[in-house]
Amino acid sequence: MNPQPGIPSSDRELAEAVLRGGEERAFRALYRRHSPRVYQLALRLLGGDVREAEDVTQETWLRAIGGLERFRWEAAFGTWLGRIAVHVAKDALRRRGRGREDLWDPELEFETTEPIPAHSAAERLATRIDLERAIALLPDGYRAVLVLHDVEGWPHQSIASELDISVGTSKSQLHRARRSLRALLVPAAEEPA
Amino acid sequence: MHDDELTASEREALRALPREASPSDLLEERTLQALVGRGLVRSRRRLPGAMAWMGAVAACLVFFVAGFGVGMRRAERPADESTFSPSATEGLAEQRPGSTLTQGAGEQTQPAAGEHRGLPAGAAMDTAGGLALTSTPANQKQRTQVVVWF
Repeated sequence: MNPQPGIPSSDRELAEAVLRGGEERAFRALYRRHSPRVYQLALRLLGGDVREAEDVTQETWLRAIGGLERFRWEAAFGTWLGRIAVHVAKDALRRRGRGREDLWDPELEFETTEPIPAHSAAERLATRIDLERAIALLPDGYRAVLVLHDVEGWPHQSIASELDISVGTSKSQLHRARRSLRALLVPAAEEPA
Repeated sequence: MHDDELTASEREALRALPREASPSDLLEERTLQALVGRGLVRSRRRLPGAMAWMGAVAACLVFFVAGFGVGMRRAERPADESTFSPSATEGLAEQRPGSTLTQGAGEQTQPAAGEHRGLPAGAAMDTAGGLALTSTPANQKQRTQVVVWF
């Protein structure tokens, strides 16, 4: 099937066109539909590193298109793509020089330094920027769990499966991530004089 | 065990974070080229471009050869054959002996664009189009044939 511009095609139809005919237009349609979400997820998991996020996004598509034949359409294409992105991001985090044990080490404590001054609640945009900055400052392991659970809504079972950790580790990492995040976002009024 | 739950406002703030961001346009091209390189996607730019160029070159050669052949055939035709197009400009004029004066007379019609005729003997051919002049010896009644082509 040849997708026509302006005529919406389902993910499955587009994927079939890529798989059977290697159609460039079908790929571009899939890419433009799903890349913004994949890229944002990668960017947040990697603490705002644009270059690494782009590398993760590209690698995600390479693995997805290369594995299209094995995809059984039991989940939504976007969900499947997101899981691949998390897997690729996890590998990228590990390549940053830390071993597996360090990333989700239960003994690892994050010592917060200077909290980010919070703006008033009325300045929603500024609050959101502060929150993004605070998330980016978290250790890689804390950040990954917090982003997947509290931002993306993943259950601990899925997080543990994708990050190759236990459910207990996922929960404890989330607890510490939230505590660290709050410390980074101490409101200006509560800062010590 | 883990009683550090998010407050409603914290939960709302985290869920309100944007879920999409636009990567650079270069990333799309980079990703596409990587897929093309692995043979997973066919680029629709590369092959048609090469084919189009080859087709254009072939068409040019065909037109060139055809035009050359037509030109050669026309140049070889004798002047008195009825190949003169009625649309050609032609005139006959009688002159006094010795005169090389030419003038057009009689029926004159415009030749078709790009058409020219074989010239009578003694005529000079102006490939840019123009007048071909002939003259006859002084002891003969002079007939000057004017052929104009464009």
